[in-house]
Amino acid sequence: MEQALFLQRIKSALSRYSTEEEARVLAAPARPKTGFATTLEAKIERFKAEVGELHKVQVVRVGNWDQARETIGRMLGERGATSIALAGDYLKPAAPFWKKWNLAADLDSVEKADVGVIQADYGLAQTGSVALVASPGKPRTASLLPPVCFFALSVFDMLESMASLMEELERRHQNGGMPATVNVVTGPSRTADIELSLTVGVHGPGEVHVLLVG
Amino acid sequence: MTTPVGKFREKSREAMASPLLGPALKNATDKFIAGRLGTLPQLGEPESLKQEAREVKVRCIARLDQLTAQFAESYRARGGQVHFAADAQEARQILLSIARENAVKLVAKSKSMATEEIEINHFLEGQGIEVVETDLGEYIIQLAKEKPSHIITPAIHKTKEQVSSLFHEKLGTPETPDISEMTRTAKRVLRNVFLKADMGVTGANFAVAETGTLTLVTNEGNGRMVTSLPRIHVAVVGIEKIVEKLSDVPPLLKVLPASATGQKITVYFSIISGPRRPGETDGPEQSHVILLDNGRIDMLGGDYRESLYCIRCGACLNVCPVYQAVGGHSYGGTYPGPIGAVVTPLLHEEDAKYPSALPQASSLCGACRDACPVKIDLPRMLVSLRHDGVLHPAGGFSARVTGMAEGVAFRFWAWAAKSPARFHQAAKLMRWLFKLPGFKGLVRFFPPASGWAFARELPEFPERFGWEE
Repeated sequence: MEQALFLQRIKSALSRYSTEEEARVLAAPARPKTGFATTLEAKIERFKAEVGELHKVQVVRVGNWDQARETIGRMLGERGATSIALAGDYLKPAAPFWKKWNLAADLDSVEKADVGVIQADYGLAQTGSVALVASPGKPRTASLLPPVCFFALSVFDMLESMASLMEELERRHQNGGMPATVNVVTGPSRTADIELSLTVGVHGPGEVHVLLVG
Repeated sequence: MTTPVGKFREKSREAMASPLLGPALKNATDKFIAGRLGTLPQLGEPESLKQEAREVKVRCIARLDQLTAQFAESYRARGGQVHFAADAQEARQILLSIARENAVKLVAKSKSMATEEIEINHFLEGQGIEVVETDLGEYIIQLAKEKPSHIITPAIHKTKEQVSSLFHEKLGTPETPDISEMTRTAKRVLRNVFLKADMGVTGANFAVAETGTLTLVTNEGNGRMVTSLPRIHVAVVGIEKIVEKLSDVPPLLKVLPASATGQKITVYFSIISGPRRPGETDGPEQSHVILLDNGRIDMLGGDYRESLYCIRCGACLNVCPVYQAVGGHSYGGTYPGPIGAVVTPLLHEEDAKYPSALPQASSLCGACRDACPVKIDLPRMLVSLRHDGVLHPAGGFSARVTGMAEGVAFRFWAWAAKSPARFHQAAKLMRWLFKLPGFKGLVRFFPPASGWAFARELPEFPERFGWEE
């Protein structure tokens, strides 16, 4: 159907009916923003507590990005990983560091990688989530196709909640930089579609861990 | 029986006769109810969370003309293409032409009620395009050639033994009692589909007008797969999903997973604004959105507008005593339970089997209204639909007879109840009638008693009323 006709039909349907509730809601001032965490440490504590409730997600805090790389290297060694999908500038500068592993360069090798190692862009304290912004250096699939995923997050990117993330995206939009995709990830991929029995790792990673940096 | 109500009853009897369905429904609805009641209070005061969510929908639906126009403009500004579909047939044609133009052979779908409503799978398959459902529950019912029976867990009616033999039969895997093994099988098969598919088809939970953004909630990750790997993404979106701005999303997202599965948030929440940007190595090269009317604009223009506030969480199904007994398939359409009983007669759903019967499929107990995270007054609309059904010739002969008989009965009641003398005389008459041999047997076959007595014993007429002590 033509856009103009479609919109005209909506408009005329709206004009045929209205409620007092609509008048009241449309006239009401916007709700004030509510927040819970005042300090960075409070947000980090909340994040850790929420992650603790998720399915077997470990959260480790390290002091800086060098330590983050070392810790990730140790975790990769412990599980005998040979190939990884690496995404994120903060992880990359020490390129020689990653020589021990095959770094996935295309979709095919991302699909075969043992672990995805991803620099997360934001953390959401209220739900223990990480937010991943797609960009040329950060493919969507690096955090999706491998069976295991490590997220590294700078504590200074810790936000309070989904509402704060939306404010952040709103700002990016105003500056003309709305990302094509942002994925908010909370724990391992799961399903309960057969007899409501919880099973992890159905399509996405079945195991995820978080490193807090800073 | 051939009336719509008769068909609903027939289907319900079949469902209730199944020894497996009852326990499966009880297990699922009990768990979901407990999840919702346990989680909502952790996120805030439930009543104010619901009120805040409702107000977002009230405001956005009241301005839907402007917001739809704005969404179309912003989505195009993000590099996407916008299509408008008046009905299911037009939506399918649009999908087909996008597929044809791009030589699409394989479509990977993530779970979406809107695409169920317009039934694209058979249609595209008839055109030589393979369509695979990738949500585990949807995949199971696609293999079984069935319809979803619950909005959230579509294969709620299947036991693990049934799934195991289904996989054995269709995929050739050995029978197993292990649910994780079945899940691994599905993962392996569907991973291939994700990698090979040319087109990903999804719905959207919320569409943001200001930024041209679509958002998707999933737990398995299939929503991410179909919006990351295939070169074309098409979202089929009912117009009621449009909200004004990004900050409208969190109040709705707060109550959605909590009311659906009892999660604080789903594992994945994807915020998608058009195709991949220059330099990106994955994500769709082409993005389309099909904005769907299919009866929604008519609903907008009257008393049923409120049903467009629905965020499809399934909470009303879980608490409904009718749904708990008869399950989703008895409703004969895409949307079961109380919300289905309201929207199925209003949507132009070609496959709905007996939409006009569904407003009767309720005891009007009000549990659905109390459970609804956006406080939709479902009982009010069910009563209103019954009223329309009685008045409207399309309601069918039986609805009119029932309506007339009920009208006569209530008029008699009003007349009798207005005077104590008449009331006592009438009560005497009823006592006498009830004692006549065969009267009770006879009365249960005629409206209005027939509907009530369908599944109940007619009681004795009381010798004295409570207040006469």
